[in-house]
Amino acid sequence: MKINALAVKGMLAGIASIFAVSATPAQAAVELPCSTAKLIVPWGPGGGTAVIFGIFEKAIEASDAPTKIKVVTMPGQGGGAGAKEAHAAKPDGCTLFAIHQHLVVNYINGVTDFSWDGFEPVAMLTDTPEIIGAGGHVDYDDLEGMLAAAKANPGGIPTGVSMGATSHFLWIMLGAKTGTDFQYVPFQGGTAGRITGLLNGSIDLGGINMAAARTQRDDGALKAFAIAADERSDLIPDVPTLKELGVDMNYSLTRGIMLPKGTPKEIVDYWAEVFKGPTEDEGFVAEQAAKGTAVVYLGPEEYQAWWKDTEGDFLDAAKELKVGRFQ
Amino acid sequence: MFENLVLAAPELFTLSTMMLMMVGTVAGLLAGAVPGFTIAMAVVLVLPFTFSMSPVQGLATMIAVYVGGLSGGLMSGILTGIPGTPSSVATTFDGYPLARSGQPGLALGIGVWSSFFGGIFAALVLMLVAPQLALIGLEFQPVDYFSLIIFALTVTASLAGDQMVKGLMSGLFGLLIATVGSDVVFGQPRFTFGIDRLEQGFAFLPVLVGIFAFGRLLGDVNTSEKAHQPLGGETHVVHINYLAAAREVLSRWTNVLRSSAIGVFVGVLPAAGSTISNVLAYDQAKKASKEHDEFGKGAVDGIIAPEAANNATAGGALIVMMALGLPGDIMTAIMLGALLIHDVIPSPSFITDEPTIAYSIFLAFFVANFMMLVLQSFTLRGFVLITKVKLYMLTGVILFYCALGMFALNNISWDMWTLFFFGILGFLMRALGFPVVPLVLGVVLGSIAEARLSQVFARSDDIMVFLTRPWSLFFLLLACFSIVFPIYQKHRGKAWWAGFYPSLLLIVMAYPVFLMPGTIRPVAAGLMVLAGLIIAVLHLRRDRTPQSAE
Repeated sequence: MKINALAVKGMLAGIASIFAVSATPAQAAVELPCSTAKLIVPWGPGGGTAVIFGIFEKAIEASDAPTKIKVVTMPGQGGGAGAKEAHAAKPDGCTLFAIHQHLVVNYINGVTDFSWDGFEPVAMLTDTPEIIGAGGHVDYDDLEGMLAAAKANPGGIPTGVSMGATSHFLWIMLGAKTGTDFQYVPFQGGTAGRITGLLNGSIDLGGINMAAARTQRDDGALKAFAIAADERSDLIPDVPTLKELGVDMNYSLTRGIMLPKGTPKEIVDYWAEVFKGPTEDEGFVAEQAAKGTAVVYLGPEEYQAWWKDTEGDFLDAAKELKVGRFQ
Repeated sequence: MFENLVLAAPELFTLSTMMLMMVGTVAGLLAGAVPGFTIAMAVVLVLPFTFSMSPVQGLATMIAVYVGGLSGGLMSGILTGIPGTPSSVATTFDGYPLARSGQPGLALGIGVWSSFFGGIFAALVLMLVAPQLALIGLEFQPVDYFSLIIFALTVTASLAGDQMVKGLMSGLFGLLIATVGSDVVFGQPRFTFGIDRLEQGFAFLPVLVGIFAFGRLLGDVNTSEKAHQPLGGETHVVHINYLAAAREVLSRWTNVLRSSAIGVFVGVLPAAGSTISNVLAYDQAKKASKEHDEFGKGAVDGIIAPEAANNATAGGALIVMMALGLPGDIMTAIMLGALLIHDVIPSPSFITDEPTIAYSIFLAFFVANFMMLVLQSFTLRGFVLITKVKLYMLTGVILFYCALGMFALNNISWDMWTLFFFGILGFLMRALGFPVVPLVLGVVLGSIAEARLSQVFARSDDIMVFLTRPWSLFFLLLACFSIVFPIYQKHRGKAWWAGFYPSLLLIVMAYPVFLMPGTIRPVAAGLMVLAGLIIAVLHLRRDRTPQSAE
């Protein structure tokens, strides 16, 4: 979470334009034993990850890359089922794995016995900051009010999360930073169910997505207290960042690509180049921005460094609160 | 409304969009007709193509696939007894016997027309009261869902028929199967006995396809003699008299309306959608019918109810998707994803903000139902040819597609083993006289019920909420009446007390309806009480007049 997403984006845009020309030679160097590689998405079709990588699939299909990709959805066990399948795959570059922080969360919860280091990081691609949301029915109107209510009623405010998943850790981390605790109500299986819960009042708090924050606030159905990023979003400029409000925390879903452990470095570099292509396309970047997702490209080495930092943050929070395997 | 329709029409009625919708409908019909291939799969396959289309065009194509798929399931359901999709499970109960008894043409015709009328009903509801209806979906909290599922489970009692005890055993066994695997909240393994594979649990589709397709086929080919017969018995030409079938369906319009209304209602609730609605509608049709003994043997009403309901459910799911931006089932979840790609975000103000897109969706759903009607009559001609294929060949082909479809669903090879195990289980259960439908219902509803119940208890241990929330109380009371219904049915017209069942039902059910918000529903509750009293008084008076015919 220490990555300064937007700053990196701006910096990379500059660097990318310099190196854009050198993209092609690396592609010719490797020959893969397949004409189409399988990209495992460990969630269901229609979900955020499947849609984002569906767009990558189209873009790579249209590019001159010799090997195309096909998104294969493999839902189950909060992303763990797909992770196990990808972990066990042959490291020949024909099986790729689409991923965000759930990999570390799965490890903490004991769903998998490997963390990010069970894979070879290839490239970070997109970054979607979380938005702290609430149902329209709650009494408070800002983060301060929310934290005060949580302190007055420790572990009592019903908060919709996917138990043991990234949406759960959002609140665990917020709790660790602000000395608060919430009552977690299991809304497994994604943001849509959680937003229903907020709308009908069966929960008070929960992470919401950009689509809901943009459209459901005008008539008071939902509230958004803060965005867990470095800068405010152009799409919802009235929502302050957590840092502005005095909570030193960023939290976003950062999606990227991994390969099975032991994949040769040339193949890792090859795929890193292939996925870089779409991230430099203006139309693609604009399309993602409209959904509250920033396109942030990091190559294999930087991506690995990012994983190390991120895992550290998660493990610290988990140890402090004694969750999962640290009970 | 009309100006919006006028705005939307030129967007939708372009040559390319119409062509795409036709292709989509045929694709849906085919995917629906092949057992093991689901509608969701077909919609997922179409999704990438829609990225490069305009929002209206992409949505229209997906809606065409959706509607085609819902109707395609009836072809295999009626002709082979194997539901093409989970949405047409109940269609097989009466469709297959009617087809076997020498009237496949009538059975198919009724199925097609019921689908059509159910779809048109939902399309009209969609256009007229979408936003208001969507709000009912929002009234449903986890507590209410759980009670709804309890009510749906009581349907097993009536589906079991004479085999009440075996039916209940089968239903409970289904609930037990649903608990195997990872628990729904924390993903902790349970009932896996240390076997790694079992952690995946038994996904409901492979169970369903195993029991209905594999299990049934095993029974069909258990002797060499049977295996060499063609499916349709002695060859006869299947002639579909559409006019006669349409007349038959329209003459039972109360059933069409009731089943469509059930379909829309279930669609509005973000739950399992048409998988549940077709069985619920079948059950209600059976309870309301005067000739309920005919059910299971080829009753026309038994085909109308599930087919009208499953197409109507699509309309209900679309209502919620457009008015609230929430998917009611996996198909609308995928459509929502497609809308988001075009930066079109459904929300409560979507219909007023984006009237062109919203009304194009309404129109597309309407048009898709007409396309389905016309194209179904062509695909049916091809499909009835399978009744001439010898069973041993058909068995191999169907099993191949089932296994392929189950694997393609989540790309997990374990699902094919699930299909295999439950095929054998289904065969054994049939051989021993256990009804299999309650088992499937248990597997479908078990995990939904568990997820909802865990949400309820995560907030509080107080079980009184089940009785204080109107919708929850409504369904729990309805469940009680549903349980005692078979006893009432047995004594109807014979025992004096049985005559009070309808009025008691109306008066008791009026209480939770009275508690609901707004003004319409409390007034409706008053009318229910009034109607209940009138029926009771009529019954008492009729009782005093001496019975002449003894």
